[in-house]
Amino acid sequence: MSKLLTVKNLCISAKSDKETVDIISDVSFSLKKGEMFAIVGESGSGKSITALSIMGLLPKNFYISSGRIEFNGKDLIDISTKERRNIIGSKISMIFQDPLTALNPLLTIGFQVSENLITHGKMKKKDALEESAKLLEKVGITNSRERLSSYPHQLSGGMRQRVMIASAISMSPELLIADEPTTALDVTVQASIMRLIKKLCKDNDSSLMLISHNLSLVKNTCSSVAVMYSGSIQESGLCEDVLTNPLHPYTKMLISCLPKMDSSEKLISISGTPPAPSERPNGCSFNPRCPNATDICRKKTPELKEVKKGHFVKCFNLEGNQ
Amino acid sequence: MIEPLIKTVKLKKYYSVSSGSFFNRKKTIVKAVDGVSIKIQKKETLGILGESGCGKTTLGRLILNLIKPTSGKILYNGSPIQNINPELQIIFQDPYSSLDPSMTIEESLNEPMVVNGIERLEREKRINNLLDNIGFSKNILSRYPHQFSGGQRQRIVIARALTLKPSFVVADEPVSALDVSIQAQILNLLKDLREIYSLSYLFISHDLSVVKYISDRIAVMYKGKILEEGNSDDICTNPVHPYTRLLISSLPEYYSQHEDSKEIEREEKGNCVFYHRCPFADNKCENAESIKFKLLDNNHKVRCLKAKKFYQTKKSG
Repeated sequence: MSKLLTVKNLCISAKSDKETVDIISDVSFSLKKGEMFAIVGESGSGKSITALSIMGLLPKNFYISSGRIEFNGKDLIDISTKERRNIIGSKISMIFQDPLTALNPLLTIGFQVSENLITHGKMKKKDALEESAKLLEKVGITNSRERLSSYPHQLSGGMRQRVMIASAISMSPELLIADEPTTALDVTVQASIMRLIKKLCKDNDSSLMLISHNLSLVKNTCSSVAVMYSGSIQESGLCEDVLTNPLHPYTKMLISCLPKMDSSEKLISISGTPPAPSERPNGCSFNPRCPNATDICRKKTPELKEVKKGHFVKCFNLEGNQ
Repeated sequence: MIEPLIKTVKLKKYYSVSSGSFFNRKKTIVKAVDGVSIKIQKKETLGILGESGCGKTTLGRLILNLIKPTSGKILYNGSPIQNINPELQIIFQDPYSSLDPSMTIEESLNEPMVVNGIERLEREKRINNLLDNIGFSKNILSRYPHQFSGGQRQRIVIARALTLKPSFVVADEPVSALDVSIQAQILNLLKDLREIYSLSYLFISHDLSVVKYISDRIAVMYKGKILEEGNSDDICTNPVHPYTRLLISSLPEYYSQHEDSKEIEREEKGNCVFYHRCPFADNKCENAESIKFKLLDNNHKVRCLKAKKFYQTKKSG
């Protein structure tokens, strides 16, 4: 299968009045057509910034300092704004975390869903609204025709997220980026939204890039995963490798600190807190919290090594961890 | 029988909400908590599980007497609670907004004790003891909240709740604002403190696996009513109420088993609060006068007409 998206050695920095801080360092991954890929990590690990950089939506003081992002063989960084506009929204689209802030409160649902169809699909307004109603039905909103004229505040959180999804899939994008699509929602709604996203990706043969902090959600949705910590990928590979046989101490501990339904053993917690981007330690960024850290971990930064076909780990101490 | 530490009897809290246009105001009554009777024994943790808007936070605040109930009684050690009782404390969800940013940690920790007239020496003793137990050194006392991360702040908030030596603490979603790696630290801390200070918790959360980890018993709430209550293991391994089952099948771990479970939506009717989403509801449910708790074994209570039938088919199947 051909590569749909390739991110290579991506580095992102943030400029402030005083200093320049590296936010993302050396992140590489690729997505095949139809693949379900996930990035997991805690807040501040850089997972959302990675997604935003693909969309070209980085905050003002952030910039890509090196690396490449290729979509269908086309570079997405040095592209003109006009060209980018043709791709974003039609070939790549994104579902944001908080449906309340991502929808414009002053515009009707119909306007916001049909906007994409009018700009990218070159549809007439009347046809676009017709199509929007169909899309809303597809994502499970009843009375879709009446809903077109409602405003976001008239809908519940789950319904708003469905509207976001409807507008994101309106052009059957090749890549759908979902940034924590269910974090703001109740569990029962979460389940149905995830089912919906999975089904739509399958129907359209789209690839999914899911950004999440929920390991079990990732395990049950995606086929491959990258674990991010402190701005770089620590471990990546197929879900069955990374999440069932983790090799990096961070991944291992992250899994063991989740309460399990079928056991009541005491949770293993990771001591300390993730470092702020400006206070990252020398050497491996996880070393202050790692139980097996040795001298080399404090001095040198490990590289992402392939330990098994397709399973990459960034750690010096692999033998000690097995 | 031993007197429970906390007991509520048919606790109700109704709010009236006006809606509609300016000229066409309609008043509706929202039943935030609707006839909740719970008992919490000494050193016991009761987990309240529910989705947003089910009334779990209102229930916690009612018990502390932070809001006045519409009707019903709350008994602490057998006697009704008057005013705000320092032996009952609360830990809030958001550690960023529950510490005063202009007060040092020492001032924050001292404030409840000063208000309750505790002497300086005793205050220092308690603070030192608490800092030991939450894993901080003394030099954090002169710092301000913004110098701490979310998990550290939550630990300080927990210490502050314990300064008055409470016997009962309401923990209102204490870990939902935290990252997974920090969440485990706080859960373990709460468990340890329960042993050290012989505390009872009312642990409110929407996360089933978290509730199960910390609670002895779980009560599942929906639209102001408790639908199922029992030992945590019973609720998690042998859920009976259709709503509890829906909650459990919504966990990503169980997606594959329930991939095609249907979502039902029908009109709200009758007295069962879950009727409009229940896949098993029929005419009987619609016309039932009132849905009472059915007692299965082992203190496992379920508010469903078909509880016995579900329970038996589960047992035999």
